[in-house]
Amino acid sequence: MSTASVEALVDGLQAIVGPAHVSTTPPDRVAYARDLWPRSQLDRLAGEPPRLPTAIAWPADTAQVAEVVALCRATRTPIVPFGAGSGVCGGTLPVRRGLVLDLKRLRRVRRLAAEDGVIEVEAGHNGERLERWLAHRGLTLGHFPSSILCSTVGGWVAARSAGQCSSRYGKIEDMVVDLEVVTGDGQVRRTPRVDAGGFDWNGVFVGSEGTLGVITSATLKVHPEPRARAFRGWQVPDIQAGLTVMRRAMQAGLRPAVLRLYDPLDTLMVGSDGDKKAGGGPLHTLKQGLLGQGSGGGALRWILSHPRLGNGAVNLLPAPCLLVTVSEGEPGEARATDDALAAFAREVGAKDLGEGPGRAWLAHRYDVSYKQSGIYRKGAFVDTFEVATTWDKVAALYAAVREAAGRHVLVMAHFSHAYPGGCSIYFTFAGAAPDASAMRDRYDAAWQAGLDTALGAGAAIAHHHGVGLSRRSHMGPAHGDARRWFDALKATLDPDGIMNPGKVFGEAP
Amino acid sequence: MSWTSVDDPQLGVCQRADAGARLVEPLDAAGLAQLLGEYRGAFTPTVGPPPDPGGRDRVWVDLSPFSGVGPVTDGALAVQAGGAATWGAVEGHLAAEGLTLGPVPGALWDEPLYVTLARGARRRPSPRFGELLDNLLAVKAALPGGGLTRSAVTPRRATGPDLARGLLGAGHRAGIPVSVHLQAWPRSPVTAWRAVGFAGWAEALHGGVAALHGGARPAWWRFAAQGDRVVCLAGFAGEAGLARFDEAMGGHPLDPGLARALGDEVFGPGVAAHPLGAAWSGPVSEAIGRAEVGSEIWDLRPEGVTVLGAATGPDPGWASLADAALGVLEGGP
Amino acid sequence: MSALEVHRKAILNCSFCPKLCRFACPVAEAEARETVTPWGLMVLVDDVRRGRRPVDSDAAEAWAHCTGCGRCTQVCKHDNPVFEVLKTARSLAVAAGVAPQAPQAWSLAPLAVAPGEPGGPVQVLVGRAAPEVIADTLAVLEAAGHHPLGPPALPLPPGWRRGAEVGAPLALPAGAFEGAHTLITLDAADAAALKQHPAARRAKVLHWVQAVEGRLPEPTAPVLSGDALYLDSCRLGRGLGVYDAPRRLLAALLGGQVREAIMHREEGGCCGAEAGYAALDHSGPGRVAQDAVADAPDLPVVIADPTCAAHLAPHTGRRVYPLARLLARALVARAPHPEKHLEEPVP
Repeated sequence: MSTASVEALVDGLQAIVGPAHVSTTPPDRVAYARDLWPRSQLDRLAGEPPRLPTAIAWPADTAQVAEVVALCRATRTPIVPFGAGSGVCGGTLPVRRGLVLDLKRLRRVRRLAAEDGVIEVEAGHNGERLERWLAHRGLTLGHFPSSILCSTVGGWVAARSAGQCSSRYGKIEDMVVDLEVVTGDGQVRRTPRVDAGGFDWNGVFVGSEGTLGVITSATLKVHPEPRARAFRGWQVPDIQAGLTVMRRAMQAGLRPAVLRLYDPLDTLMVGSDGDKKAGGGPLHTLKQGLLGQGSGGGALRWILSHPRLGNGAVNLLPAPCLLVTVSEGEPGEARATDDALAAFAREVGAKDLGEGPGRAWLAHRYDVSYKQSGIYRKGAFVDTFEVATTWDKVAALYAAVREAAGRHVLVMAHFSHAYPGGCSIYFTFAGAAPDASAMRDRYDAAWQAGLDTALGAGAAIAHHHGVGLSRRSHMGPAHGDARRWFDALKATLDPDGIMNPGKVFGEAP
Repeated sequence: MSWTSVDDPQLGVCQRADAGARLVEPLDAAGLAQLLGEYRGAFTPTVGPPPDPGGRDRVWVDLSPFSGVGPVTDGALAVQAGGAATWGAVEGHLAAEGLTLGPVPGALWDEPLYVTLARGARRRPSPRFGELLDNLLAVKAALPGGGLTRSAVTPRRATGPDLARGLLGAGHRAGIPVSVHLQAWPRSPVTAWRAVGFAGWAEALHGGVAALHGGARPAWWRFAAQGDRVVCLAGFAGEAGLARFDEAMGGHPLDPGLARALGDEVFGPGVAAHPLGAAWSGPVSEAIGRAEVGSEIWDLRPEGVTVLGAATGPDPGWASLADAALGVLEGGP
Repeated sequence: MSALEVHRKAILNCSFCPKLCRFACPVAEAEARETVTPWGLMVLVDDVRRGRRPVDSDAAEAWAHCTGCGRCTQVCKHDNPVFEVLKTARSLAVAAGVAPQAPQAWSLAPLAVAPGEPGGPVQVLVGRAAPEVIADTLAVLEAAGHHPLGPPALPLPPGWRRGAEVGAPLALPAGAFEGAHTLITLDAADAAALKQHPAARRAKVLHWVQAVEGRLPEPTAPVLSGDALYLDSCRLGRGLGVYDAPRRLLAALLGGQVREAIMHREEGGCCGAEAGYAALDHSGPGRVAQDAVADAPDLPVVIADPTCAAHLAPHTGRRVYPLARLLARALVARAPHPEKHLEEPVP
């Protein structure tokens, strides 16, 4: 944009949201130039200057959002809706520059109707704060993504988020009753309740990542806080046995809050008691390094620079895996669920490890994100890659992704987010290379291998992290001509193509 | 573009066309997609000969090639069915394998899947098995203007907007489903029935919500006014919280045979259609005021309820927006 | 090695972190601005450390958006000392002459020593409290058996606290605190700063609540008839670990119950008054104050630190009472309708 255009845009924005709520200062533009996509971290390590947004605006309410969208339509300014920037796929990167629209001033609880089981909350509300607000009233959303400390309601909806207790409470799309959206044409719209029948507009906006409009509030289901929890850890003979327990539980109609199966390396990382303290053993150094413990990163970098060796060593680990279960609800249901899970586990020869692993999981449920810093600090990288598929393909997909990505990075995984038809595989991969450029090459190669493998196996190429930029290349092959349907929606709702351009499916052909 | 005879090149993808090419039967999904891509007029899908062919301005597409059911994927229990298969055919196929879709409302038994999907019908009164569309794992559809959608068979949509859902509830204009994957469930050998009477709608619905919060998951249930009381009839498959249902539902226990009879009446083949399409949906607190003598409530959830017989049409604003998007998809302005 | 290099580990931990302390930071929540999250501030520091940006007025302005409440460090699994790093960064801004005016002026108010005997064994450092709050606190201290009263004593010079909050220490006058075995402050932030100051090394430093707890007579009647919301001052709670004493003192003054904010005690936030933040020409400090009481019921608010009370009252529109005022009323007033005396807001 020309200087004059920028000035005109800023003047217009200031007239709408007030001068204090528009910024073009360098620190603000730098802070909004990236989200938490690890690829951006590598770019930063390489000293590559980020693509800065032209401006940032902080609207106070839906009406201001609508005015801003109208202004941006008139000036053909791209808009990137922004929650808390916790996304890990580059979904909020301002690739066409333009305006970053930070929604965190929209943080009111508009309505709590506990007797009707719903809350309407604005998009910018922080997740952890919302959950505490509800807990104070004896309620819960049941939505506990790892990012809950640093993400917003709008971000959850936009990126099709899933929480750690999704097997009981569902993914965010299962929680949405209706949405308020400012579509790219500047109209404020409230979606019809999905149970009204007909076209499912909630399903259209959930996961749209700001490409069709700005989600400004969401009506979500709320539940009574569980009065009881039953924790359990099981040592299952191998991955397949653990998957069998998960599958049978879900197909029997159980609704455990957590079913979490760790592969052998992840089991080693977690520890059989579920507590992530470093122990002994041949992979001690690796474990310590990946947990961000210990000083110096030489050994860690060496191991991660030789992923075939590392993954080969992992293949020698004992097959038994840790399965963590948490059952909750009213005391009767929690107990009945736990008993039924125990029966399924015993049928596959699992060994009962008691409450410890489940309790440890709860106590450390968000800790894994803290490990990331330690690994980067030591000159290596780490990322996660989640896919989903049906039960018949889970084990094969796990092996195939490990094989393909394992040529480039060290791979471990856990299996979670179980449904009657299948589950998610949550891969964690870590790598290292001699310099920043080689690190990026290795990172990109791992992702490419993972996506190609998932696509080839007929799996979903994601589960809950979204598309952003990291999966965009594979969206066309994954959805075929359905992309035309997206383009039709986009042309209708965002006729000028200003909403988060370049994301999800990329630009229209 | 229009056709004059079966020898037209566009019809090479058909295994059958009637003399005037007003009724065509595509060879396969790719053929259907090509037909939709090359013919710019409106199609009306049908299965077999249309009951009323209408005038020469109508073109019927016979979806009979997409009537098959099976196989069922091991482990995942995902059953594949052609878009023209009926719910009853799917359920019959599954029954032979010891599986079920869960309760299929009698009104849908003979309805092809593509019709149900085009209507966006999603309700069934089943806390245990969820709504019909909760069990939709994948849809493959031929789009207007040509092309086939593709989506992985997955337990949940995972990337971007749910484009499969965008095909639903939009009539046949958004596309014609040629293949559907549905979640099947192990058929439970254990069944149980409950009937409970309440003094009024508020007591009944609050009791139902409390039962759900308590962990009860009836395979189906129905609330209806009978005389001066409201009766909840429920059927259970497997354990699914029967004890917790009993614990949470106050009221007065009635003869469970009532529920058994209703289950036989409403679900499965050979029963009268139920007005599934005419309904009001909203919060429980509002439903209590709307439900009257003669009302029925099938779909009770903590966050909302559907009252049958209190129809509200689709929101006109959203309907026109859907029309606009469909116009773009069809290649219109 | 630059002054920042000693903090390399902390800086990298933050700048590669997915902002896991975001929910806890009162400033980030109130301002809704990524730049002022601990992550954003530390990324700026890292850019300076790596030589990718200068220490300029833009960076200095951003670094001023922290109250030093320590909540981020508390929730961080790395115990990352964000405020310690920011103090170093702020000192670089001060040295470069680019610090925003407000932080340069911050802590410039003298920390007056209460009327008392110069060089006496117990000295009360009254800080920036309003005269009536000072009088109330001294009365409470006296009732608790501390007798420092006497002629005025030596004030500490302007800027004395900078050492604690900017990282640019100022020397205290020779002989400050000489002979004192106990130093009592009205604000916990002053106590924390004094504890770090060499001049106070030989004295026991107490917040006034610590000095009076368990030493006051039981009130004969409630000072407030109903419930009241107690807010933790971040410096008193997280800083000094004092949570129960003020609650016990308050409970004895109420006809009702001590009520709590959703996040309280160890999880309590901050009112926005400290570390120079309140002196910024910005709406953030006011919004932090509003957030501190936003989730709480509409009740009288009580807080132990007078600086916090003075900041909360105008921004929140609530009735805000310094705890010392209520205690003083309980000691001296035996009025039939005591709350009538307390309707006026804190100045």
